[in-house]
Amino acid sequence: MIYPSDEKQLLDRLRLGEEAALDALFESYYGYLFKIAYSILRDAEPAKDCVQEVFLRFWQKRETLEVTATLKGYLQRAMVNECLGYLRRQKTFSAVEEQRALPDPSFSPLQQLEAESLERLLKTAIELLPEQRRLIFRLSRVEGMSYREIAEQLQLSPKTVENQIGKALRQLREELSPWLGVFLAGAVQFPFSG
Amino acid sequence: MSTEEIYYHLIYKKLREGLDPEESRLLETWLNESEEHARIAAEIEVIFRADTPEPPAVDVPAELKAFKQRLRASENAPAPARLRIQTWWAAAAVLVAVLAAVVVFRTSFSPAEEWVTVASSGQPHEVSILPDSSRVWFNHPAELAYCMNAGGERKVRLKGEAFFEVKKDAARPFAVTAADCRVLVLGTSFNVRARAGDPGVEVSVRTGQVRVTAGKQQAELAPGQQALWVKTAGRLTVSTLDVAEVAEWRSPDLTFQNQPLGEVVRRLSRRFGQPVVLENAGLEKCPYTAYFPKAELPVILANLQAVFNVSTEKDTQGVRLRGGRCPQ
Repeated sequence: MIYPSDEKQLLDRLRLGEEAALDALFESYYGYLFKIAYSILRDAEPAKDCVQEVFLRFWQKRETLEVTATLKGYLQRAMVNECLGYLRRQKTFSAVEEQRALPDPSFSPLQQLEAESLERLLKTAIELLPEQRRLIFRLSRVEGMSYREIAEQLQLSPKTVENQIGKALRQLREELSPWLGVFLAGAVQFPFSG
Repeated sequence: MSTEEIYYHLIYKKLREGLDPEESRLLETWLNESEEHARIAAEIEVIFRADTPEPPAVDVPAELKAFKQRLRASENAPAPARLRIQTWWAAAAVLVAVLAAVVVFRTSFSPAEEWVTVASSGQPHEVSILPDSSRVWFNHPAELAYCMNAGGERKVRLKGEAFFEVKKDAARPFAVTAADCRVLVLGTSFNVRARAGDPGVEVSVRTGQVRVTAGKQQAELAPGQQALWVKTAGRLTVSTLDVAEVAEWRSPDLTFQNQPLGEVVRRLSRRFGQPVVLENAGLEKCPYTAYFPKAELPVILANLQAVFNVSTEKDTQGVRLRGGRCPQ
């Protein structure tokens, strides 16, 4: 845990090139940044790569570093930007992107539908969302990232973010409805009673 | 945004961060309007709960160690990994000079090459990180030896099968040699298969560009392409495959989407390392669609039996599927 007063000290030590300060920074923020990267990329290996890039670049720019707000906010922003950059580069590298499609529900034996499978189906369905909508939806699952912050990071209006999430949910609901039905079978309950 | 989508977004917002009194009232009214609305809300809640971005546990000290390795590598690298235009020209000029020097001297002078060996351990989801940050997944048993300071190239010798994700470095091409087949890349991901008992060496590309050289032949592969080098025939053939099938062995699940049965058995033979033969040629084009979260051959065969009414016979040669018909 790095407190604000310690933060200034840490930044000073980093600027002077003290590697122990880099170690401390890494140990304090790795978990938090990895969580962000994983929420966006949903793949551990590229997520780890991107987190490393953030620390690497932070260290390489240490002498000219200007952290105007909190260190946590700065790193969060850098992390999201790195992931966005990664996704953009992915597009140019793979000419033939994996075309996943949802399995035909009439062929899947009911027994194969455990909670684990729904997560996987959901993952596929999210992949089928149009690019920006998919990105907004993923960012909406980043812990502590408000709609306003998503809007700022992607340079959109908050209303657009709301719209896109509404559309994403509609699409996901429609695509997954044969399977969702299984989960709700027998449960005619109002989820938000009281 | 259509009226309904407003409520979808409100339901989600309630689950994420909560609603203000105005929004809460709006949603309540809509929910109480019909059972259909309540069901929609329940479905969205299922989606919200199933979509878990919970990351796998991380070993921070181990990650720190890997990071420091990467840091050292970036400090010692002869050329930075991402070159800006001016430096690229400088690097190219240097490369030309070095080549010229090699041509002039042409002696047995070669800088001391340090080779390091890495073998697969059989642990699932294990990945090896090379000093240049490229990643390698082994299909156990497999083994490779690498040398990162071999002049202008990053060299790897492979025995067995591995999937490579090569870090882009325009100044240092990455070269994999398997048996007598050479694969040259800049930054890409691809699978190389040179297993004992295979008819030849197989290279499949997932992303990027790859150049394969074997015998006196050469082929440039793009994503979704595969080269097969059969030494005894002296032939390098290029074919296409679904990008999703490249290094399929890496994922625990298996999906068939309207795939002709002839191709399905081919995929199964590869995946499980034993021939699965379709005797009834009339079934070759029958489409098959199924999803197996955990790919296990007996389970898949049972499903094929049920869908196509084939009988499965196991012998020392593998599995034979007899009889059957296409379901209408």
